[in-house]
Amino acid sequence: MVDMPDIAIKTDKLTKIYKNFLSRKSIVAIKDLDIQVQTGEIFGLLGPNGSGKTTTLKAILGLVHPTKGSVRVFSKDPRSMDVKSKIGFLTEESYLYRFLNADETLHFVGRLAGIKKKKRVERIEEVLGQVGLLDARKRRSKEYSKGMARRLSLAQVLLKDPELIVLDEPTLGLDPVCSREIKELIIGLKKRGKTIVLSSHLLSEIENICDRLLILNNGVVIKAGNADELLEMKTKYQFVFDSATPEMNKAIKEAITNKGGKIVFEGHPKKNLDDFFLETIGKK
Amino acid sequence: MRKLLAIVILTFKEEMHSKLLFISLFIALVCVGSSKLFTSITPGAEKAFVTDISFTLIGWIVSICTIVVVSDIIYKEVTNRTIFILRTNPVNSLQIILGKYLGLAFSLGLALLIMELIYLGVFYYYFRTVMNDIGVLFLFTYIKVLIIVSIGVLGATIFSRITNVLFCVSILIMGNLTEQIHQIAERAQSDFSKQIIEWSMKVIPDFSKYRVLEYVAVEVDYPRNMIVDGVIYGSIYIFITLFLAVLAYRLNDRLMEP
Ligand SMILES: Nc1ncnc2c1ncn2[C@@H]1O[C@H](COP(=O)(O)OP(=O)(O)OP(=O)(O)O)[C@@H](O)[C@H]1O
Ligand SMILES: [Mg+2]
Repeated sequence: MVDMPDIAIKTDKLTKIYKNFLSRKSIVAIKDLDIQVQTGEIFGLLGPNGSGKTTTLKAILGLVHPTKGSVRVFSKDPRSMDVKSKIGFLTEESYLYRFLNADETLHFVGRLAGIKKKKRVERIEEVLGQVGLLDARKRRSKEYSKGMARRLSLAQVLLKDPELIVLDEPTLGLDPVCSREIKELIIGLKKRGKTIVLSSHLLSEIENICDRLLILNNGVVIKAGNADELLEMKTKYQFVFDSATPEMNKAIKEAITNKGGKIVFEGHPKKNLDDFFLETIGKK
Repeated sequence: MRKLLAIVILTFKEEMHSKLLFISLFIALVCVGSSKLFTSITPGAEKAFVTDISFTLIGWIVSICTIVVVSDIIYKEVTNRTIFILRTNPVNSLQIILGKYLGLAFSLGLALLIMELIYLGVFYYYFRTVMNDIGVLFLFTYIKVLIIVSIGVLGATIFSRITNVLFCVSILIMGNLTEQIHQIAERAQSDFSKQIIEWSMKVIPDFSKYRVLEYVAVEVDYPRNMIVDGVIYGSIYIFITLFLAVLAYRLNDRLMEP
């Protein structure tokens, strides 16, 4: 079978079993996963802790060997140099060279990615600005707070401007302001035609940015599909309108019940806490 | 080339931030500086004594330092999970192994050079002169370091830190005792054990090729073919060891799942 050129990732019966030689127990981390990610979309992996999200992402990147099944990234083996130059991976925790500062870290990664000096200097300036680390660029990463380390890790991913960006819990450990900035950044990347795969166990986090979702539990797919379709409640409908008066509400209610509809909720819509927080600290 | 350079710089910077090199420099300073205190026994042989004791000590300090530094040069990437950075960027095993090797070769070479300058300074302060042929001694000490680094890098692709230290230390000791081991082999009873010893001698580096100190210290001419021999032997040994390290890294790549 020939892969279509617009398919970024394709897995076939991807299975990973971790074996423990001492206790002879094996853990099935993921089982028979068939995933297809189109180029240019944002693909979300959802699932509770230990459901196999990280394992799936690592398998996609060729960082773990599938026990069974196969992975193709841009129709190639994910371990090929060609694929490696097109991917960026944000690990779920930040793993940095502690003795390097932000500048040195990015120069290192830039050199690994084969970016020339002049371009590298420009790009570093740019990504440090994007993640808001310009002021801390000369500090060694072992002094960084968790959020700063996370941002430096993200800068590393952005630096080489990869085609496929894999983000494992991208907003883990970040405050709401920063989370929002990252979400906007992700949307911006999509606009530039990048393919993004991300994982999360915080549902609200993924909800409004993913094109497609896949829900994992115990290593198997529970549900997959278009984000809007999955979340939309087809038989229900809501109005939110301004300058509501009790009379108006009463009239609408009567009209609905007269037609045989059943009202399951009524009341004032609430802001979500994130928005409220952002408004309060004046970032919105 | 740029990728190789990236790893070289990374390794060099890392070693410059480790305290070990500075501590060993300090130890060398103390040892070499005080070497003359022990020479009062035989006047006239003072120069030989200072050189002999200084270089024996520098040799051991730098060897031990090398082994400690090189012991987890690959494995720590796995334990710190920085291996993810290497694995998700287009850099191959040859660049990683060679980069690490060169980075260590530079940083340890720098440390060795400083120790040797300390020796030169101390020697000149006492005797207002320098030994003949001291350059050969410098060169051979460095080649020995380079050989140990290559063995350590090979070990680092296979073993975890402690195992690798033991691996390197045993090879270092055997490499310094090649002549004695040959004697043992000659006296061995069974052909089988003789064969085993002979074979292991082919694998273990023959540091007796670099025993130039016993000539330089007493200012006797060393056999002239020693330099060419030593350089060629060292280059081949290092080349083969690094080649094996790259292979081992590739194979291990399948086993190590960070
Ligand atoms: N290196 C490993 N060795 C053995 N078992 C592992 C290893 N890595 C993961 N597992 C197991 O595989 C399963 C899936 O783990 P994974 O890290 O993929 O989950 P996750 O969905 O990313 O969870 P979280 O939300 O906590 O990050 C878990 O049961 C875990 O214990
Ligand atoms: Mg995870």
